[in-house]
Amino acid sequence: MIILLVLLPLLLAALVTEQRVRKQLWIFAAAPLPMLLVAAGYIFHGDGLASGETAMVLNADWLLLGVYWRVSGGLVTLLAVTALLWLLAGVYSWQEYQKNPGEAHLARYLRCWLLTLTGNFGVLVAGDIASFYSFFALMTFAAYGLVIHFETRPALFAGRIYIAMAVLGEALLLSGLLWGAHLINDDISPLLRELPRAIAASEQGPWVALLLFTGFGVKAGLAGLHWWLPLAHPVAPTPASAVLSGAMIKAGLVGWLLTLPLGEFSVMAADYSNIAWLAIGLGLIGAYGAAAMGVFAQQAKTVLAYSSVSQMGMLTCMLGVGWLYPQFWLAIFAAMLAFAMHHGVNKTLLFLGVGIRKRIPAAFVPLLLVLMAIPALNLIGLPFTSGAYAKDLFKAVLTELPQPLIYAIFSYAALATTALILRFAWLLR
Amino acid sequence: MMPEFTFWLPVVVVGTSLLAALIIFALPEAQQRTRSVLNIGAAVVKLAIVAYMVQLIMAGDIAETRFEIVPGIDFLLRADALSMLFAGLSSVLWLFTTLYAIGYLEGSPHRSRFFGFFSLCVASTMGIALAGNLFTFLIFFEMLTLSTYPLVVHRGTEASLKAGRTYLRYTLSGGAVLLTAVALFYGLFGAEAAEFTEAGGFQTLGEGSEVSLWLTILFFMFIAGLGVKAALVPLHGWLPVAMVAPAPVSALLHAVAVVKAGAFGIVRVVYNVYGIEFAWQLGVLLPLAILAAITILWGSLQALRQIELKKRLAYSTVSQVSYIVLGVCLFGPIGTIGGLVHLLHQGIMKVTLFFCAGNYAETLGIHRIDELDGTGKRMPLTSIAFTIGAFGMIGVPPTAGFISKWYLASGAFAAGMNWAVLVLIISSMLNAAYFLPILYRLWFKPQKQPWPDEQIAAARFETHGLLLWPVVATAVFSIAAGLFAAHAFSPLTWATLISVREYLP
Repeated sequence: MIILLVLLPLLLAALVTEQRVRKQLWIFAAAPLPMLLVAAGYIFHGDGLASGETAMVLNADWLLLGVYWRVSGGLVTLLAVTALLWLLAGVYSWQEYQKNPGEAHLARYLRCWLLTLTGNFGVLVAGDIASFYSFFALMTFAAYGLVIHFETRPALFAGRIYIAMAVLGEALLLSGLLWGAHLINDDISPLLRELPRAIAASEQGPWVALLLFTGFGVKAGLAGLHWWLPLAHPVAPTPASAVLSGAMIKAGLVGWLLTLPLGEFSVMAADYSNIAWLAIGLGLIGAYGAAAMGVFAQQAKTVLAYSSVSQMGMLTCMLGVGWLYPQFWLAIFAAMLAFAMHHGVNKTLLFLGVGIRKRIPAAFVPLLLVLMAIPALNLIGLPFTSGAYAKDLFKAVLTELPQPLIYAIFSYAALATTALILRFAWLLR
Repeated sequence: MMPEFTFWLPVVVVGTSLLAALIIFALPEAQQRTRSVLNIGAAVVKLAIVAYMVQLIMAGDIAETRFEIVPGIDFLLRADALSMLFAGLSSVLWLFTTLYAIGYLEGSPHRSRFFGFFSLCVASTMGIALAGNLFTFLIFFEMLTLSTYPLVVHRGTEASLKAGRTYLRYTLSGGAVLLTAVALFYGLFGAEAAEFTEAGGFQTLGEGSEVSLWLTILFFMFIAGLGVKAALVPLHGWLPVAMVAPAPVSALLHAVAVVKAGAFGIVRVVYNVYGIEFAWQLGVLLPLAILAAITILWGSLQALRQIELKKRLAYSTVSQVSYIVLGVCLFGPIGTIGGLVHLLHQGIMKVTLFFCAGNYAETLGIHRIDELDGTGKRMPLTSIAFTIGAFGMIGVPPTAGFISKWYLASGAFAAGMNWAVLVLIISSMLNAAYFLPILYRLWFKPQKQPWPDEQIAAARFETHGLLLWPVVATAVFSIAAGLFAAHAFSPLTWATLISVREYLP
């Protein structure tokens, strides 16, 4: 069952043909739908899945190095949101390409879309290192086809930077996973959930953690490794940018959450405060620096890309704080998940809005802009918005910490977001 | 006393190809159908016997053929688990390469000669796989050198004759070094020690300083002799030049026959002559590992610079075969598994890549990488196979290459050789750097000029069936060996079985 849900996009990709692709556009919407329904079922039906629980477990020890897939309680909401974003962007693509029958390379685009989707789902359900890495790689490489779809000069350039950074990220990631797996003695390819404890228990742990932090950091738009993001987003087709920013960069975050030694462990062999401060520092640099760069951008989508780097910076900062104060990790974890989902949904809506803005008659533009103000204000975090909710979860923890400075700096990052949103609105007017 | 049935099994395996070779030589050129039937028949028969012997070995039974040539020196063929790793690879790939070669050479001259030496080459490979001691190994090793030469120069052009001369110069020199080493070894340590035994014959020998000195010197003579075929830097010069050979020959050279014979010889010397534990104590593994690491990086760097598809693949082989050698040097069962399983994995993936290169050349006349633009649309199945092979070489899951790399790197960590992991990671990045641009050309670039020399028009399939289906089959194997790695009948499981036997006291 879970195999079907995850691999459905892959199977559908096999159906796509060059000749018939214009009649197959419904696949855009059909591919993520079943996963959305199932994940939503787990959330809304009955008691749901508690954070430690798993459902739909697949245990195939004859596949790869032993495959273990599950829908886990901690990630099921993110899974549902991811499926929802892919569905939204998929419906958008379906409508858009139905109107533009002249679109070139449509079959290739649809195939890459479906492969990326498979990878994105897989990352969220894979519980063993080998299949997790498989899906991560699939998502990374397939998304190349989305980035360069238009094959303009900037798109090809962005694609080159994207693939070079991706290969670097994969190398860092693979080193980290290998090293981490080595720390778990008795198994050649252990489960992801065993990694954090093993890393924590080893004196080499900080090095492994650093490799994993930077390896996933490429995907998560960590400051210094983020260069591909502002290049790739504006040149990719609108729905692709939407899922890149909304869903796929969260895969980097999920990687952090699943593999890093966060929280309290019975054995803690090394001190992680350096990496934690590194995360806080890079996070804040990302949060503010991306805003400083983004307000000078000339395209609405570039501004949104910088905004993604900025928002991911805030998440990185939260990660660092949680790493520094393990006793608060569970609360911060909840805040990060809430923040990630809030950002994913709102950012996707804004990206799709940019695309719709170009298509509709001038009379409807004001209406659209009013509608788009909702996700925009959400991102800024005005009172009673999802942004305020997610940030308040984190700020509640911050007030208990002996670090008043972080509270202030984190709070003022809202100004950075506001500046970016204003610039975005200016460009879109 | 009537020898047991199993006594003759190894001889029959080698003999099938040998007999096929002799009959093919005798056949007139025009008898194409008979020759094809004979070729395929022999390949299938051999595959069946090898499969049967694998069953025997799983049950713990070992088939052995032994004749005394001169007092003290035996001709010994023995089917142990490690032989079957190599024999299995050869017999499976031989079948596919035969089918491919029949399609590839259709209508070209001298096919009788080609298939004759082709069979002879495979007979030598089987002999190498089954050789039970250094002497027998040497015989087949030299026989392989000689039977491959006519295949390299098959086209008879100036370039191929030149490549053939280079090939002979390198391999005969290597053979001479190996011969000297084997002779010295027999003289110093006797025939008993030269027999391949699981876990090696040396763990009980005293470690007098003179003995270890001789053993060290001989070890590096063995490596020098075998390293020519295994294309260890700086002995790799012949391999890229030999690219002028027809595609099935390149495929066979790179995946099974020559290069692998060298690597397999190194495996035999380290594990079954010296014994891994003893070699480790002797301190010869680290220098070999460093040499392998240099070769891995050097080969990848050179591959980056090539503009011809087959040359790039050739340098990639230089790099990939040293993964096997590196794995052999990683002291510990996991590294061993990685090295041994890569012997198989590299074989199936590289054969796929060379078949693809052959298909591009034969169907569209494409030889250079920059001519590949937009080929994905024209030849989708071949291009998918190429993509699978390329991702396998980079080590992206779920291909077979990922399994190799994962075990090699885990083995390096387990052996405390963390630098080797760095070598593997850098090499993977280099592999990505020279394979991804090709994939980009295949799938994303539009065709910008007419095909250089379109030979086979697109009909129901993109090219001749005999060229296409072997590629598809080996590509499927490349995925399956990775995807079902943990299954009971995977290469990984077999390599694990061998590794367990090599390390048990």
